[in-house]
Amino acid sequence: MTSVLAYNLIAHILLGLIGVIAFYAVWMILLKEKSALKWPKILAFVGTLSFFGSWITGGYYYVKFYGKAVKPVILSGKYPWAHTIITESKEHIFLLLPFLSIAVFLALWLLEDKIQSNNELKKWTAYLSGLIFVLGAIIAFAGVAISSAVK
Amino acid sequence: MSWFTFLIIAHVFGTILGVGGATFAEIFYLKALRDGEIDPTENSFLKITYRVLRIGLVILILSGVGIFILGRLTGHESSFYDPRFLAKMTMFAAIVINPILFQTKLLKSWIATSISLVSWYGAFIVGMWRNLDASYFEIISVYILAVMIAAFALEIIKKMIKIEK
Amino acid sequence: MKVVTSAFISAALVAVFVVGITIYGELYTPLKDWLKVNFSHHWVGKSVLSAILFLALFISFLFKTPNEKFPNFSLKLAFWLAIISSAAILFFYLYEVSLAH
Repeated sequence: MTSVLAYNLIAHILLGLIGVIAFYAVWMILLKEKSALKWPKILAFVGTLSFFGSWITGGYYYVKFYGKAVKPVILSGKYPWAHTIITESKEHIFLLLPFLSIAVFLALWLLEDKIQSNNELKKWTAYLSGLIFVLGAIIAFAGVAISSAVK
Repeated sequence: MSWFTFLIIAHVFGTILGVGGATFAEIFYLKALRDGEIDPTENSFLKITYRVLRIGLVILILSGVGIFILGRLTGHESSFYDPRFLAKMTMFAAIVINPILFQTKLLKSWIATSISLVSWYGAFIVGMWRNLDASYFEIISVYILAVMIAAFALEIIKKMIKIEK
Repeated sequence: MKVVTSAFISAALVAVFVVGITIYGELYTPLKDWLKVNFSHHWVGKSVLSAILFLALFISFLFKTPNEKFPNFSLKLAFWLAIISSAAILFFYLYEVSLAH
C-alpha cells in the first residue's frame, strides 16, 4: 500500500468516526427537554463535512486498492462473507448518510426556532440524527470486521 | 515516541477519564440526592464530571481506532473475532447506548447507573487482562451478572444513606 | 422552510434510488457494466448519480414543495425510507449469499 493510499484509509476512518460522534452528540442534545441548539448546529455542520470527506477518501482507497488487493484476499480467506455481505452492504448504505446529514444540518440551521417550539419536529430531528449515528456506527464496525477478515 | 506508544497512552488516558468520570458521577449523584434535590452547586459538579467522562470517551474512541488502523497498516490487525475484543466492544456499545435509553426513559436510573459503572470497569478490566482465556459468552455472562449485582449493591447503598426514591 | 422540506424529500428519494440501482445492478449485469464503463467503477457511478439526483430533486422540489407549517411529514419520510432502504440492501446481500450456498 502506498503512503497516499494509507493516508486516504486513515482519513476515511477518522472522518467517518468524527461524523458518527458528531451526530451522536446532536442526537443526545436534542433528546433533552430543553436544549440550546448552538452545539447541535456546529456538530451537524462538522458531521456533514466529515461524511463528505470520508466518502471521497474512502472511495479513492476502495477504487484504487481494495478491489485489486484486499477483496481477493478476503474472498479466498476464512470469512469471504466479510466482502460479499459486509463490504457490499456498507458501501451502499453509506451513500445515504451524506444526504441525510445535509438535511439535518439545514433543518438545524434554518429552522432553529421552529425546532425549539415544536416538540414533534424536535423529536423527529433527534430520531433522524440518531439514525445517522446508528447507520454510521454499524458501517464503522463493518469496516473493522472487513479489515480483520484480511488476516 | 512511536505512534503505537502515543496511542496506547492516549487510550489509557481516555479510560482513566471515563472510569474516573463514571465513578465520581455516581458518587456526586448519590451525595446530591441525600437531601432529596440537586442544588445548582451539585448540578455544576455533575455537569463537569459528565463533561470529563465524555471527553474521556472521545479520546478512547479515537485512540482505539488509531490503534486499530496502525495494526491494519503494519499487518498486525487485532482480530475483530477475538472474544476479548468483542466483549470490550459490547460493553462499549452499552456505554454509548445506555444514556440514550435513559434519556428516552426506556431505562430506569437504577439500572442505567449500574450498566454505566459496570461497562466502564468491565471494558477496563477486560482490556488490561491480556491473557484472559474465556469465550465471548463467558465474559458477557459475568458482565451481565456484575450489572445485576451492582444494581442491587447501589440500591443497598441508597437505603443505607437514606436516599428517597 | 421549503429548503428543509426539499432536502428531506430529496434525501428520502435518493435512499430509494440507491436501493434500486444497487439491486438492479446486481441482477442485471449490463447496468453494472454501463456504470463501470462511464464512471471507471460501478460504485463511483452510483455515488455520482446519487449526488446529481439529490441536487436535481432538491432544486425541483424548491419550486414544487407544498407549504408545510412544519416539515414533519418529509422528515418522517426521510427517516423511514432510510431505515427501509438500509434493511433492503442488507437483506438483499444476505439473500444473494444464501442463494450462492
